[in-house]
Amino acid sequence: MDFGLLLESYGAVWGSLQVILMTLLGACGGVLLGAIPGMTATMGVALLIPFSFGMDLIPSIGLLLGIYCGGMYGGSISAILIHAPGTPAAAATLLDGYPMCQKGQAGKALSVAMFSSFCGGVIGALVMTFLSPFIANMAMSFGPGEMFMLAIFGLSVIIAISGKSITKGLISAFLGMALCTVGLDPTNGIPRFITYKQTGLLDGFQFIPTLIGLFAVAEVIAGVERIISGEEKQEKSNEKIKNVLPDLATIKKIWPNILSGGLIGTFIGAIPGAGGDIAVFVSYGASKSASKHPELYGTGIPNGVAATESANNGCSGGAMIPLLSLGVPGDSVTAILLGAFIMKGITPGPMMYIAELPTVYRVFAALMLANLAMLVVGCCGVRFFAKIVSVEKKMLYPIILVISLLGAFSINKNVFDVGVCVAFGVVGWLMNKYEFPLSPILLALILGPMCEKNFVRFMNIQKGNFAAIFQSPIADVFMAVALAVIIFSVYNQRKINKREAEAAKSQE
Amino acid sequence: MKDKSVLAGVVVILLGVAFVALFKTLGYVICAALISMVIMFLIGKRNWLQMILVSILVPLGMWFIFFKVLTVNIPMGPLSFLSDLVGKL
Repeated sequence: MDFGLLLESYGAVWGSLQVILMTLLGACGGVLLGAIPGMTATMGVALLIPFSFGMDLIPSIGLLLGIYCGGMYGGSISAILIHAPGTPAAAATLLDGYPMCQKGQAGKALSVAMFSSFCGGVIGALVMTFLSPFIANMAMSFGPGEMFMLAIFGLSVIIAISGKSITKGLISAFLGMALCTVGLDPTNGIPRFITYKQTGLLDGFQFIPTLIGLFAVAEVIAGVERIISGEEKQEKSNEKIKNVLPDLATIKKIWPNILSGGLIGTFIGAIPGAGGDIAVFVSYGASKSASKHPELYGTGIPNGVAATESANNGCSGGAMIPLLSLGVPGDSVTAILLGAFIMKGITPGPMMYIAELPTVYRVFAALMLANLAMLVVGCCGVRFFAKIVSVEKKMLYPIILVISLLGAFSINKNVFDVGVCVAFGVVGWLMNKYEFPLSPILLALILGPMCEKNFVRFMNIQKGNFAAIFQSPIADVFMAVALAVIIFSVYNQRKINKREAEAAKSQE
Repeated sequence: MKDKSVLAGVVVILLGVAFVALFKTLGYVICAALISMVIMFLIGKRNWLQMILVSILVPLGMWFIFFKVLTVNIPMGPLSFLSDLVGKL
């Protein structure tokens, strides 16, 4: 670790006006794009890459990292304000973010999200700077068996996030797993179930239209119902947003969640193929399991928002680790970044650390700068974003619907996806009516394919000998943690139920 | 009261289905404007000026962002001349 060179790189990057401007531009673009449901950070990066052709490497990396970090925060804005995750990684933010908004604390939720995103991103950048080689090696020892166990672990988190009824959570999850089976068999390419009739389903239910349908469209339908039945209140932005950053009292409460979220995000982001969408739920589940008051999660507490937002920005730092150390992208955005590097004549990987060390350090500095840029953009925007809740609900819901439907279309430019979106809107609406949690379906949709593919691969390699999985220490760890999460959550839930039963009794 | 609200929910769903059905023929902006107007009317809004402005401007604006800024082709149906117009900008 050459500190002299590190300092010099920070100076070169942070001192260059071009880099600063490009990064700020990227952060603005990222926040805005991330906030539109249907537009993801990946798309934003892909679309703006051509702008970077004319620039040198570091300004273009600054632009792209700005979009990346901005996008991860931007998704939370729409998740919190309109229950429509702007990016898949924001899907868990709405679990506590939206209730906070409904309680009139939209500004607080937004500032907690922004602050947590920043801290999580810094944690990711720091881990990346100092621990890259170590983590990269660990990430590379993830074979199919380990990935399978990671998916199982992720699925165990479903129990932790199920809210009141673990049974309903499990049913949701099974529904999600069943939905994953639609499409082509990942190993053999044979169409399954109704895929025979619908070409639109050849790739299975597309994730983003499903996400938008379950969360945004379902909420619009529910909102319309509430307006008609008179339950819906029109919020005025009564909050006086004195500071755009959360106050010290709040920070004192949430910093453990931020720390754990940032670390969880970094480690999960470092595993190629596992990204923000998994990390946020794991972080939320972990925070909830470890909390003294798990029953409060989901009612609108800043801890829930902090846990998820720090995780998704920690992922950005994490995903860069395998990219720089091994030339293996950690997620789709870093895959695009890989392309950007190659276009400038630099091949990320182990050689980069030897031949181009100054460049590596400059990238570290650029990521830190991107996080700062996101903080600046976020601070400027919080007051403005919070005003969105003052838009008259009778106009807001149709607007959300219209934007969501367009977002669902734009992923694959396919009308079928809009139909999927509407269909899942119905599913989500029904699930809300009968108090089934929605997040388990989402998590199952992400993890189901991962689970199946890796299981099949593992069995192919081990020639059917499943017991071999116990030989892998990493797989054993995940198995143990998964069991621990399940046991803990069931135990916690029993405790909560007992507490509530006693409270009810004492009121009689 | 509860029945009315559930009925409203069903209407929204039907509008969604109608949107998908008419999307290819009428294009995004027209479909979006129509369902937007209907929903607003359904939930009791009567300020016609606001309704019309929002129903037209929001889809138009979104179309513009997606089409011009993000270069995503969106079916416009009878309004395709707008795509051609803006495409030349």
